[in-house]
Amino acid sequence: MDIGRTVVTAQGLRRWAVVLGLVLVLAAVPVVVNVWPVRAAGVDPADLRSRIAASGIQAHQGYAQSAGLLGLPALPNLTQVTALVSGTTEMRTWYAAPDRWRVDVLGEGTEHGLYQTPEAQFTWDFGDNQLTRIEGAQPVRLPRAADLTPPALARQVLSAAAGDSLTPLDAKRVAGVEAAGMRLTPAGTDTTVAHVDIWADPEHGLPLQVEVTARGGARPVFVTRFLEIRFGAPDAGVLTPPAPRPGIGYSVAEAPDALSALNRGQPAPLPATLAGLPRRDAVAGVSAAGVYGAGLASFVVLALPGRSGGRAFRQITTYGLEVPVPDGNEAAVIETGLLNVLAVRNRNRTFLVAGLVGPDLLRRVATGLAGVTG
Amino acid sequence: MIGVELAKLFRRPRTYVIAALLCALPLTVAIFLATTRIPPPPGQGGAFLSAVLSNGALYPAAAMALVLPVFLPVSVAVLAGDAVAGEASAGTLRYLLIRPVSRSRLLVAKLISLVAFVLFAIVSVLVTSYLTGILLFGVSTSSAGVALPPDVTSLSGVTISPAGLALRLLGTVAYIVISMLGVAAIALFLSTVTDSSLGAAMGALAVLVTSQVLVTLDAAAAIRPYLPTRYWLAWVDFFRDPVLWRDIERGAGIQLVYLAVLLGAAWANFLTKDVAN
Repeated sequence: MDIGRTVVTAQGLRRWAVVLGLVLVLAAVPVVVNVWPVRAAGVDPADLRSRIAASGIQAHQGYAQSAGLLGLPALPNLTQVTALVSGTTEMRTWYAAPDRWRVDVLGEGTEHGLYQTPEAQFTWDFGDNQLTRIEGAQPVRLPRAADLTPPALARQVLSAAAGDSLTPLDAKRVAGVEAAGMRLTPAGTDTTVAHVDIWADPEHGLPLQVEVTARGGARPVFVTRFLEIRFGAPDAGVLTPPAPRPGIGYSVAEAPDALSALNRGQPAPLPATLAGLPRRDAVAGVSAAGVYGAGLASFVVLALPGRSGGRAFRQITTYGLEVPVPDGNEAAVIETGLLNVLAVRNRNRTFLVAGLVGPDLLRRVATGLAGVTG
Repeated sequence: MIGVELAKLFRRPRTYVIAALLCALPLTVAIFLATTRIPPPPGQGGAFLSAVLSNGALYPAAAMALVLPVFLPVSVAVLAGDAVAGEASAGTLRYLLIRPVSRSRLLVAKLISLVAFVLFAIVSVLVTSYLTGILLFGVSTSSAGVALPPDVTSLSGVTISPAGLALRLLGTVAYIVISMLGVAAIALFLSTVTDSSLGAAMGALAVLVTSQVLVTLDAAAAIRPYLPTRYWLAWVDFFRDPVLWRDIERGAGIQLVYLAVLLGAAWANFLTKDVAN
């Protein structure tokens, strides 16, 4: 007989057992949700690709999150771009049609909204208390958060890598949807991308999660996914931008981002070919930027004006490695394993190069830009 | 029992001193902002602070963002840590337990008294910060054509009507009360474990500080959704349009889980606790 055990002790043990049971039940809920088997039927990758391409008409609304581990430093005039791939971006999306959608980028006490309407685009910045109407097409612009929602990024990747191979992946539950998966593996050796994994809703073809893994990497360095998704058209009121009114700033712009400002500065012309690759995006009137290469091995070249170019070059030389170039010019590269950034100082001109391309190609590009004259 | 605890709460000068200190922080910040007219850059400093210069009616929301991360949880931890341990160290706990009231009811009464304190403190901050905002920053004109209360611009850029603002502030108060329930439950549990009020309060604060550090750490992303402070600032989402319920629901849910578990632990411990002194 256990003479040390009393009625009070037994009651206490029973009470603690109740509490422990409660803890176990509550702790088991997320575990069970995560390991619950996914029963989505496999979809042939080619079929899934065509469903994704056709999903641009699928209305939806959701909450998405992108996370990049690239660790790029902030560059002058390009802070918002580098933040997109170096941190976490929380987004709310409402999508009715290609010409009617809205993406809000959320922060603690801040919000940046982008509205696409049939007439124009509108941006809203709570911090600046500023509404901007953007009129006309933007043939060349900087990347923005709306480009990183799973549907936008997946379609962009698949359209850029039309000839690359696709293999099926196991289904996965994303935002409560049992999504079919496929892996895109680039054929070329110039790109730093090892593979891009895409999961999409098998019924509507809407991409729900995209993961980009760099060569030599064991896990993705960039992930964008829906945390919540609802299919169906959003309310029209949600897609209506705020009305201009007293108390908030309002402006009309033709192309408001930093790239357009650079272009207005009449920068040095970019060469027709770089590292043997032709410039492939010639747009009338746009000389500040050019795209070279093909597929995921494409890279962008920006010509920066003197002062901001100097600041960007110093920033990159601070964090990056020097690249030897001829003619007494200077160059430096920041390698993140996926997105590499090169800066070339050619006399008083600065060229900024960025892309999912390897350092070998960038060194050839640096040599080419160092030799630009005129 | 509940009436006794509430009367005790509002008879003590410390309740009013803590509330006054909570109100003093937003007032101090408002004086600096109104004097220098230098708001923090958007996304830095407290939420809404960059917007209050153009509309003082938003200052209650900014004040909530100022007191919530540190001042309010410290106050709740101190009071909750003192709830049982303070009675034990003062030697009054055994007299409390002599009355024909179960220990469970005593614990519930202590918790309700803490909720009453949080409500009192938050309403005090809201009222004083609203008056501070109106007096120091001014307001934009109401679309209804009346001077007060004014229209407020939501984070999404659309106008919030006075009625809408009142509803959102009510939601904010309710959410912050729920958020503080988790803090109160942690400190109340520790208060049943030790006879030292300071030890219980410090223990609760240690949990909260650890949680705050882990929330910002990417390496701890796997446990982030379950940390007690993860969703504390989700009340800001009441001021988006449409209201973003995702984090608000998750924040309320996680606080209720902490409340159930820790109140249960406090109950299991306190009911068989040997009150000797």
